[in-house]
Amino acid sequence: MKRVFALALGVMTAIGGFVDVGNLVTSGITGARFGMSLTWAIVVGTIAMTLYGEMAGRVAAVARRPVFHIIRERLGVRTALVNLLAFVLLSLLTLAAELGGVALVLELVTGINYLVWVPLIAAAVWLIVWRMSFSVMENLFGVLGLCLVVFVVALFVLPTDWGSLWHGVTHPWVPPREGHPMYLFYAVSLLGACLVPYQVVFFSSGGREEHWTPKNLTEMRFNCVVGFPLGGLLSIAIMAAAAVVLQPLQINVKHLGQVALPVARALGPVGLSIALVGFAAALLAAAAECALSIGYSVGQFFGWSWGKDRRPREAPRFHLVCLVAVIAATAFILTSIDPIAVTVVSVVLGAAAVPLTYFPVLVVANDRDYMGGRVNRRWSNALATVFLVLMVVTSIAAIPLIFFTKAGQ
Amino acid sequence: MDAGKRFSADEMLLDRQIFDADDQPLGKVDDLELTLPDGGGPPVLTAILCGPTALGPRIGGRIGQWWAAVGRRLRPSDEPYPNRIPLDQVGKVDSTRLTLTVSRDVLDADRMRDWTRDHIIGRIPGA
Repeated sequence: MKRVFALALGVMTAIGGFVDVGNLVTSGITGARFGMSLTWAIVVGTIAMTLYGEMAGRVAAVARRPVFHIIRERLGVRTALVNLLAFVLLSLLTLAAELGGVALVLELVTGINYLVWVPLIAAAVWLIVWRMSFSVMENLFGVLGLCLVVFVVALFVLPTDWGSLWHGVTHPWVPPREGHPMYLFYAVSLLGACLVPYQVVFFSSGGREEHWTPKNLTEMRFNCVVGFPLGGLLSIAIMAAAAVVLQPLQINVKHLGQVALPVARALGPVGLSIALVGFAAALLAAAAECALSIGYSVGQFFGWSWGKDRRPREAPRFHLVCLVAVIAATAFILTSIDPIAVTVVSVVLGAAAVPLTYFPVLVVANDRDYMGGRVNRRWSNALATVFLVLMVVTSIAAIPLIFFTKAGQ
Repeated sequence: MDAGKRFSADEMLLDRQIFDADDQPLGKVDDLELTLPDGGGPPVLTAILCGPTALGPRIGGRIGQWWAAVGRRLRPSDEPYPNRIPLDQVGKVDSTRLTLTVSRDVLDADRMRDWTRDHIIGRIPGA
């Protein structure tokens, strides 16, 4: 029974960890504008995340070192540094988006402008990083994040035309009112939202925080193979809810409140409250994970002591980096730049940087010095290579698409 | 390590994680110290170098210079020569890690950590 509970908890945290501000915003926007015609992008992104997440988790359990702890010695100091800088800048942007997202939720609830909330939320995120134990953080927010299941419930309550939703899934054509570049831009944004680079750094480092050994491999795989796809399914449900309620009204999603609108329509204030709790929990957890990932990546590049299972005094530089990251992201979002725009740009730029983060995972997962007999199997390398090629194509397309579509305007 | 097998420093040493005798991380092998023996002959590896003043020059460019400068500030009397860990304090070396025979606290090799702890992190309640 205890084992079943542990497995369930792991899956829930994987679901909670998968869904963050990027998924909420991109699913909401695309559902409202493109119906279900971009579902394939979430499916592809989720499969890739599951595949690479498993590798990163396996490295953490078998090599007893997170992936980014090994990059520098395998790829050389300069490549690793470029990698690190890209990762840190991008994650700062993501962190800013998550902070802004939580603030927007609180604005909806209280009516007080989101900018007032930003510093308070930043302080909360830093306190989570500073004091909260790793497992409490993961489990508490993972379970609260499951409130997002109301989107699935809402779909059953709404007069959903399942046939036409399915038709949209199986006929991924560009809707008549939209152009091809716009369609591709949002496809890239959905892929980027599923493959946010901090997730793989966090998952792998988190495995060390929880002291995984090869004995945990089955559990870790179960979390990946069940948890991430369920997270993907949740993103699809959010997209579907937007397609059912927002698309006929031609609402262009500009605020997190609009993403929650279908739930309010279906389930009233109670449903809306549950959805908002889910939003706040998922984004707060994502913000803390993002801040930690910045600390992890920098600490691992330099070989410092890092991690939450050490007291801050024993990993001072790691905690300093996390603190500075939270401050920098807060300052950025306080410039009153639109958090939703920051989110969209961060996931698309993220898609551009995805190969940088995911390629090393593939390299280390094939390294016999570290992995012994637990290197990738041939089929998983073949599949991973196909996805890597896709990631490279996406990454090359991402930046021109940002300019061409004015970031999806 | 296979005795007699040839390997390069890059394959075997550079950028490896250093752990101390208590399995605590100390840093990475940022550079190597080679010494020309008095009697002539090929250079001999005499120490492992670590810290910003060793890593900076290897990164090169502006970022490298800046990083080395940060390191110099933390060295006693602006000493530019990096922290060295003499080879006799190095225990086991394999292709994934390097383990020392002493504790990292004995070495005084990491002033940056100490400085951050004493001046910033240690002052925050709950550290």
